Formats: sequence, C-alpha cells, structure tokens
Amino acid sequence: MTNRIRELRARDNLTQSDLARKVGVRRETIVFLEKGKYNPSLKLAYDIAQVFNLTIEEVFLFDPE
Amino acid sequence: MQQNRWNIRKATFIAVLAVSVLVTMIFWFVRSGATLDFAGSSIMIIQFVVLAFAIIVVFRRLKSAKQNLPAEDEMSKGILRKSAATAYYVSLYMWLAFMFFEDRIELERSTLIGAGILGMAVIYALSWIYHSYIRKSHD
Repeated sequence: MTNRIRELRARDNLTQSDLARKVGVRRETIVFLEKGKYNPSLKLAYDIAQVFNLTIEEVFLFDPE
Repeated sequence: MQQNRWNIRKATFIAVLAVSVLVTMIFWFVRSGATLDFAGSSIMIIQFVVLAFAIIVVFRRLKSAKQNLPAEDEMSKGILRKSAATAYYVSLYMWLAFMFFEDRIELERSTLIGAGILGMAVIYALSWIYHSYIRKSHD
C-alpha cells in the first residue's frame, strides 16, 4: 500500500509534527507512514484523510498485488 | 495539555525509579564489599544497559511532551507488543541454556536467577531496539 501523505502535507503546508498533533500520534509514526513502512489502522487512516478533507481511498492507494 | 502533564509525570516517575535503582546498586555494591570479578562486572554492565534503556525511554517521553505529542500511539504500542513476544521466546531459550549449564557454572542459585532476570530485561531492550530501528516494516 502506498500513500500521498507527503504530497498532501506539502499542499497544505503542514509539517510532520503538525499532522501528528492533528491525528494524535507520534511524529515517528508519520515518518514511517510516509516511507511506506507502516500500514495504519482504519481509524488512523480515516483521521488522516479527514485532515486533508479527502476520503481514505484518495489518500491511501491499495495495490492488489 | 492533560496528556502532556501525564507524559511528564510518567517520565519523571521512570527517571526517579531508574535513579533509585542506580543508587541502590552502588550502595549495595559498596556495602557488600564485593569485588568486580567476571560475573560481578558482567552483571554490573547488564544493569547499566537496563538503566540506559530506561533513560532513553524518559528522553523520548519528555521530547514528545515538549512537542505536545502523545508519548505512545498505535505504532509504538504495536512495537512494544512485538518486542515482548520476541523477548518471551528468546528468554525461554536463555533459561533452557541456564538449566543446561547450571552444573557446569560455579555460581550460586540466587546469582543465577538474578542473572536470568537481568538477561530477560536485556533481551527485551534488544528486542525493542530491533523492532524500532532495524526491522524494515512495522506492520
């Protein structure tokens, strides 16, 4: 699974700490999410999508393979 | 804000605990008149590793509190769970090895048990480091 968090953060001028604060996680979690090394829970994915006013599918891109 | 205060309190508690363990260790060592032979110095080194781990945890918590971020979240809790599971399996093998070498090592039973408990703490610390920094995926 890939995601557009880095791109959307840049669009909204948010730092990793800002996003972490908004969704209530540690900054390291955002770092690992952006690197694709961590798949978030459904709740965290939803919270992140909410921050960017998008749906989960628009932020997280599922690769069937 | 409430979360932040809780983080600082928890970090302070861990720091006080770590310092009290260190002071007790030094006090016990000085009072007992024990010498730093191989076994004694090994246990001392292991104890310092455990304390260093506690200090790292305190710094991480204080750093998060300073940035107004939670000290724990779903990923860090997952890492703790995986570290505990790995440490449990490895510790079983460590105790098996201790049982095997029990007759061959000239150590008192209480010292052996103490070394085992410290060994478990070290295995947990190493497991946490592996899952936090070395393992490629955190899923």
